[in-house]
Amino acid sequence: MAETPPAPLSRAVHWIDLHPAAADLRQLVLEGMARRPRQLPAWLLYDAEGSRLFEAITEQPEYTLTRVETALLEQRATAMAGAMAAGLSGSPVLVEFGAGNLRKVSPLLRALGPAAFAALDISADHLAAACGVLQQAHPSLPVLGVCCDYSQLDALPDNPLLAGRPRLGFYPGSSLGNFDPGEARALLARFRRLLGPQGRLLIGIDQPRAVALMEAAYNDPSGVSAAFALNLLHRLNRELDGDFDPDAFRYEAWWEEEHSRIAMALVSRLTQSVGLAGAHWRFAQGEPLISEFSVKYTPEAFRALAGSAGWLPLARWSDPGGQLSLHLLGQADSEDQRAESHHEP
Amino acid sequence: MSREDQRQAMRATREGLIAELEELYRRAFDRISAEDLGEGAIARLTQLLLRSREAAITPLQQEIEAPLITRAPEA
Repeated sequence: MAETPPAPLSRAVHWIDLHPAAADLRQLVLEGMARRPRQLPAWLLYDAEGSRLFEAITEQPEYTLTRVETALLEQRATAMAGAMAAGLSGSPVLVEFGAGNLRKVSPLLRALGPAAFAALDISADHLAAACGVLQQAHPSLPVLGVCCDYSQLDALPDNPLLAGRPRLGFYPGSSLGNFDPGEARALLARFRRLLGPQGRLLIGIDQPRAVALMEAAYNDPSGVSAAFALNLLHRLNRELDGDFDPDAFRYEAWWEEEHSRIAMALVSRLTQSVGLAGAHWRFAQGEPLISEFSVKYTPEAFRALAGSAGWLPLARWSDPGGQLSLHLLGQADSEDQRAESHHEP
Repeated sequence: MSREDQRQAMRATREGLIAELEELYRRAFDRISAEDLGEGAIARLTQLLLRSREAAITPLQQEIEAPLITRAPEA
């Protein structure tokens, strides 16, 4: 029996808010503060002000990654879209995880011409504004904004925009590096389930490079990276009744070779006690509160990680300087059994 | 030109200079990131660029827009 074709989609921004409840936030922070070293989920950095500051980081001269990835997408979008959609039955929907400002996806949308676009992000205000701008740039495209923590999502929302169509995932910005390798593997496996049997994923992954450049990228002299991290303390004070004194912490970022990652932390300038979420936490002088990690993967290391999560590498595009790669992954148990291809501009 | 106009013109010039300098440093970082210079040379160049950028831009960012005094008060 032939399947009923999906219904025509309306051209507007649709909105679903699945934002984690305040109780979940409190529990996550309590767990993170009890760890050694203390470490909070990286997504907490991205309230409205944090999202604005992160955009400012990406414009700093030292932070080359966004410029490189954006240029790679603009130069190779047609080839990427062709590889993503090859052999699919029906017009796909494109799902961007951690959508941010949605600037990177535009070349892909133009080349792919999907039936609809779903943007998932933790920051409601930022996502809503970005969806509006994207809708203006692509007026014929139905757009669905989903405010959620995609790392905890068990299924994409039941929505006509997503029903009955192949799903293609897009996860730029090397956000996977914010998770430790075990969590990253679980997240990649989660993306497989969310995208379904025909699902493919185009994912941006930063690669290790000269340490001086990596450390400069995450600690710009203008202090924007520091302001981004310190904004976390303002958020904790505001939302979880904290009494952090931001002046009592300094921002540091350093490369950890043994973990192939940049560690970013707020380091206590003195011995102090901080109230947060109904408890008191003692910080020794020099003790770090890890705000974020950014794990860097060589292409080989990432292929192994993706393979362990059930993905099959299909293609890879990289910049001549080897700063990052955009990997296209297919489901290992599907018909995507072609050998991986590699492209440099 | 009124004093307020002068202040605005100075501010626009200052911000324009900052934008031009940042674009110059963006190109410099993009260039050394794309070239295979070796870890040691990149480390030295990065430090030089960071110090150079700070010296060039920080005074422009920190400029305090004090009221302009263009002539002595009349007796």
